[in-house]
Amino acid sequence: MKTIMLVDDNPTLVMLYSEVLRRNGYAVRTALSGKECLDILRESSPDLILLDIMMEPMDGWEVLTEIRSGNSTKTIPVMVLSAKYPQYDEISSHSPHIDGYVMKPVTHESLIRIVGDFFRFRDYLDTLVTRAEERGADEATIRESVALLRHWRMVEMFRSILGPDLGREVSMDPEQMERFNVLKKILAGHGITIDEAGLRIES
Amino acid sequence: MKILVVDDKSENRYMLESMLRSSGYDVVPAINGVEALEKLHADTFDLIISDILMPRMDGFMFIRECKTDPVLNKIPFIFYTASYTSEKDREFGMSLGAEQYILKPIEPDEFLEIIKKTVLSAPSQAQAKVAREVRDEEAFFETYNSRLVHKLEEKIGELQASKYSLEESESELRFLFDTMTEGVLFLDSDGIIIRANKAAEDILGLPFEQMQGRTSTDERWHAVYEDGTPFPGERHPAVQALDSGRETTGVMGVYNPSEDDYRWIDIHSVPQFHPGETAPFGVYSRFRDVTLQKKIRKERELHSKRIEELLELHRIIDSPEQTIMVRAIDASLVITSSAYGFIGLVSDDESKLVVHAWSEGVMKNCTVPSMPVHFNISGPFVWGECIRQRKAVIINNFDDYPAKHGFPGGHVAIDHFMAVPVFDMGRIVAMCAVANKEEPYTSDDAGTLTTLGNTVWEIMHRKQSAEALRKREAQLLEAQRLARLGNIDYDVTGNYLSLSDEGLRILGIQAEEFQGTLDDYYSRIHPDDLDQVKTMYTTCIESGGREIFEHRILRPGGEERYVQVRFRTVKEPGGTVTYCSGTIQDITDRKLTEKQLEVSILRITQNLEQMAILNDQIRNPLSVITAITDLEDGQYKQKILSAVREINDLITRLDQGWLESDKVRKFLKTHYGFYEESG
Repeated sequence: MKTIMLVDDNPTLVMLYSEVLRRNGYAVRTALSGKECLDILRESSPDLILLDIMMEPMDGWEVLTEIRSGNSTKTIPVMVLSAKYPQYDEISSHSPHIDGYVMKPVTHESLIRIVGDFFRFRDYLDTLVTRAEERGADEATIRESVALLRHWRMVEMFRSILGPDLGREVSMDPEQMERFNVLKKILAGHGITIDEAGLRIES
Repeated sequence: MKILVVDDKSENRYMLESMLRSSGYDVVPAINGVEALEKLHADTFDLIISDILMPRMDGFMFIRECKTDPVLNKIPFIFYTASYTSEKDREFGMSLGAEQYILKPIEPDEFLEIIKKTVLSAPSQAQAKVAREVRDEEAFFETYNSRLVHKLEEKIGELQASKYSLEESESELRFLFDTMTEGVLFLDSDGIIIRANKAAEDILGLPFEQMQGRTSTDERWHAVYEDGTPFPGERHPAVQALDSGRETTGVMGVYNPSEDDYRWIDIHSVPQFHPGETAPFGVYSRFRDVTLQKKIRKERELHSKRIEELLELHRIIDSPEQTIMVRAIDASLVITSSAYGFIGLVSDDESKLVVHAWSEGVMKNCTVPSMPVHFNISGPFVWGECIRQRKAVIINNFDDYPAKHGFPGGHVAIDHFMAVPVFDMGRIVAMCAVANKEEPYTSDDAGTLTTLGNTVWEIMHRKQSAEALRKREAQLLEAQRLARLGNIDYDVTGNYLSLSDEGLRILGIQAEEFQGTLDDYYSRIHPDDLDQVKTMYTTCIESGGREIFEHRILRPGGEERYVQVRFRTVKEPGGTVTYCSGTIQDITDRKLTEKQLEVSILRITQNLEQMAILNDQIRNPLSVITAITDLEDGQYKQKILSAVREINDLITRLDQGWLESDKVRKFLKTHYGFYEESG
């Protein structure tokens, strides 16, 4: 059973989302502040953290920075669950470090689907890594491919949140795009095809 | 020093006298030995120079007289001769006591040198010689006679030779007479033709037998003047020459029956006299066929007239179009020798011809409607034939012209005419037409008229272009003034920077205040921007690129203005930049507008940001409502959820507005940004 950690300063929402996640077969840990979240993380590692941004006194971005800088926590996937409409500068600075962005309010159905999509994506990456390792792709290539795939997925996610007009401003920079294509070719050489279309997410 | 010069020929004496006098000698002339002896007795001389062949007493006899005289034999004696040139003559002369024996001709310097030497060293030798020769008088005369006989034989020989050469030259003359290209007639004292050469037969178109016995006044010559009037027989140069006894010349046309045409001849008649007679015994008339020359001269005159006409047209380029047209029509008449003419402009689709002016002749001789007259080219309009056929049309026999439709009443009577189209880029733009030249129109005429048409069109066209250019320039200046756009030009090699009037106005200075250097220009730039601007200019000039940059300038009164400079460099083939040109524009107003816009947008952005924070606070309760409603399937679940979604959509639009305004603000900052964010 996968464990999800919910971090939000609104107890009602924490209660309600916990209930929904449990009903859908996830184990849930909750924290009502950034500090509480970081304390818990010192003892256990969840499979996914759903992190609110607008919190006092430590906001979500600060918590994220802490998580990403801790040795035992830096690889834990973090998905932002926020009422805050994303800003361009936030997108560009945080998107490499997060694994999803969910706008509140969100229906339970959507929340469960987004969480499910995320785990399926993790599985896909795991399979990819295993297969690539089996077929003799070098470690650096694999690591870079995974990172770029995650980044690509985030860009796609933000574009879908901002809509066609504002979304145009968000994109992978040309160098990353080129590198991404090179890696895809390398992987293709190992018989691994990355099917982007199949990975596209709806928010 | 006095010299006696003895020669029977005056020109020889003159030559010697002038040569000797110019060298400082006194000269006394004598024409033969007898006169020389008289002079010698009357005066004292330092030298005698004598010819040999002279009448009365020749040189040999003369020297003998001198050298046998005890006084005269002391005077040095020089023979100077052109006749006695043999070695024997020389030996004889020297044996008679001459100091020198000189053959003519001799270089003056050399002669003078000999004279000098002779005078200095003569006396003793002379006396010795004289003693020897004079002793034997018999011997002298023997030798003397042999020299004379020899000379006589030579003279006879010369005469003989000249007789032969006379015969030779006579036959030569006869040959020349027959073969020369000039016609030659010999007429006797009654003016009757006695002889004629081959060329005369050709030019006059008659064999000698037929003209033999005729006079110059014979009516069968049909002689005419250049203007076509009959040439009276008594005015004929041959007749005149016989009457007056003087050479006479004249030009006339004579009918050549074998060619059935007139030939133009230039006659030169020379009367011939027997020695001692005053009345000529006959006259030689030689004449050249000048028909071709006359034709060429006429062509040349016409040609230069044509050129003059064309040049004249160029001179009146500044006149109104109507004047040019009228002048061009006059020119068309002159250069084609026509009576009538007009020039018309063809409409763009080549369907209509508009005639703005006719030649004066047309105006006098027919009733034409008031100008301009429009013609349909497709209609029954003979002039339009050159446009329909798109080439020059020459009709020399109008009566037989099949396309003739008959002229409307009042039209001038046309015998023959010519019309040419004027092309511009393959389109017919005008046509020129002329009519009723005296002779038939030729393709040469068509060529000339086409040249005229082209010239007129070119002039009108150039005139229009020039006017259009002037207008455009004025518009450009006005546009520049309105746009506050000035020109800036920099001659790198000469370090000369020039600004247009508007450029100066932007800098707030008068032309005389500006020194025209880059440094002066720099001194007007805002100190805070100067380094950046200098770098821009320097880099641009060094690399040969183009730049657009904005900076501030300070006007003399201290007013600060914003300018935008677009700067372009011109490279030499080698790559060196020698010249730069560009525009300078006052963008202060735009800058201020931008600044206001920037401030407004900043304000809006800040407002929206405030709202966005509010949005987050609204979304939290909305999230709770959604979460609660969504947990259980209640009666109003879907209604509540869609209401929440609607509210969320509305506030999301505000979020997006903020994002949008932020985008605009950043865009302005990147593209126009001189300003940092201000409160």
